[in-house]
Amino acid sequence: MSDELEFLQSAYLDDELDPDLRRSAEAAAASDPQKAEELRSLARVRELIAGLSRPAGPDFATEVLRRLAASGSRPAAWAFGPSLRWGAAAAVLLAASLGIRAAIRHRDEPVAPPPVALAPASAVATEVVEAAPRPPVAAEPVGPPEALARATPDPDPTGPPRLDPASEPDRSQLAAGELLARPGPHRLFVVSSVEGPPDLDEIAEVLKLTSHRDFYRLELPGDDRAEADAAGPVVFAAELDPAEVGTLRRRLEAAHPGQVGEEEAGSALRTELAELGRAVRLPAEPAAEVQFPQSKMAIRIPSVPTAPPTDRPADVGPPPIEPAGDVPSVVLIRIIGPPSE
Amino acid sequence: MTRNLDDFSLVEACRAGRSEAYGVLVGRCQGRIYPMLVRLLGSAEDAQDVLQDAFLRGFEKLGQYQGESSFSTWMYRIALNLAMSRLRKRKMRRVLRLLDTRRGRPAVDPPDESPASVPSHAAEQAEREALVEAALESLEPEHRAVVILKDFEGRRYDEIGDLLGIPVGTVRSRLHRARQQLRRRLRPLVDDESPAHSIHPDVEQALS
Repeated sequence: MSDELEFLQSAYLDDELDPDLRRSAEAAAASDPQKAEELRSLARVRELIAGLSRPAGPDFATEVLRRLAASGSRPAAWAFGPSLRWGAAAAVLLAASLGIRAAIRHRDEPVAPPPVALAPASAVATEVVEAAPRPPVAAEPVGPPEALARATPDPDPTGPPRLDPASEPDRSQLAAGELLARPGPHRLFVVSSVEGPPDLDEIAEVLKLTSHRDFYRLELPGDDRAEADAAGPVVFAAELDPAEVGTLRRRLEAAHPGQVGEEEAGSALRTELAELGRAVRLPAEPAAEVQFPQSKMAIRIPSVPTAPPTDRPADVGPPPIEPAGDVPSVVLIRIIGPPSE
Repeated sequence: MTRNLDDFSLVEACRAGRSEAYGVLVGRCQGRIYPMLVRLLGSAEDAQDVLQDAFLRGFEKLGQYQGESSFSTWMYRIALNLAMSRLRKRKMRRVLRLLDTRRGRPAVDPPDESPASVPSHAAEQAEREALVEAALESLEPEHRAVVILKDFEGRRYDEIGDLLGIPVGTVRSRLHRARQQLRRRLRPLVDDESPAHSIHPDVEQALS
């Protein structure tokens, strides 16, 4: 049965099909005992949900009025209804037409020349646009999708959820979402902080020095009530070349010995992060890594060549690094505090 | 006196500064919204938080209420939006908790879904509800919302689409997927063949 026909099963139970589709659904179920049984079990599921009790709640009126009085809230001013909106538009048009008529009436009158510095109207407009400071991409946190922004209250819970606000989506948010959706290897580093709360700045610094691309700090919604970090948890996201992944691994391990876990970052996790995280773009400032040998050094004297263990030529120095491919990886870093008592 | 006024007159009274009129409006619609919130959020405490928050926000937004729908429908939408927001955040916390668990932190016990944990046919309603609630908890927030609005609230697809801001086709597909998932999770209850639970006249009539 196709997906479309499968969906019809539930719609059939709910009497949400037109007569033709309804007949199709009935025929499908009647000709296939397995489908008929499935229909029965879906009806049973529906019955179980419908049979849940309807709890009676407390009286909210007293508490709501008390809180409104305490906060001094007042209803927002009347929004303009359709008639008022048309009235306002008409007033604007009237004013504009009066202005045009006045301009026509006075167009032949001598007027003082414009100041020298005054450019033509179109040029002024262009200048204004160009002169307007562009918001710094790196410093501007972007709101989470729609109704998720609780730190900054929901834009307007009175409208349907999940509808994009009128404002243009921020570039950082879009870029972070694009990064998380990118194909290729995806690694998740989970760093346990054994002493005190997670030091997010330290992780940001490590990434800044490691990556040659800008990266993202994704701030996730915190718990409304009892979450230790009220600002919400943070996950860092970056795109790193294979060599940079190795460097990051070493640096994290050096900062948190024995406390770094690594695994594949699943697509569900990345999707949720992209959906829920407030993205802040952070600049990369890559720094080369200088490694000092940790063990005794010795001069290796060439000995009598023996048969090479592999088909690799014997005189090419140390064994090659495990091939990591040349595809950049999307890397996520989550740092967590010590276990609570 | 305000108790005899219709909803729109009460809203106008609120706008005129008579906040006690808002108490009447709250009293009129709380009973309709609260059960939906309890089932959607799976917690009476969360439902109370969200509904109280919804009423406070509704008061601040009264200027936007044009009377195109009933006041309770308008409040229903606000409360639903806030509940969805809370569900999504809860989901994210669960994801993060899972991440933390992988590093040896104490895990939250998952609901016991083994058949052995399912009560017998004679199980009490409370136990049955707990199982259904646990199954609902496993759904994605968007799927859970569609199931609750349809099967618990009895709304039509177009109403659900309007409330959630999604097309009717999406309502249909989400609802079917959610029911399929619930069917798998509630297998022992669904397969319960006791006479009281096996009769679905609409289905049997169609299959006969």
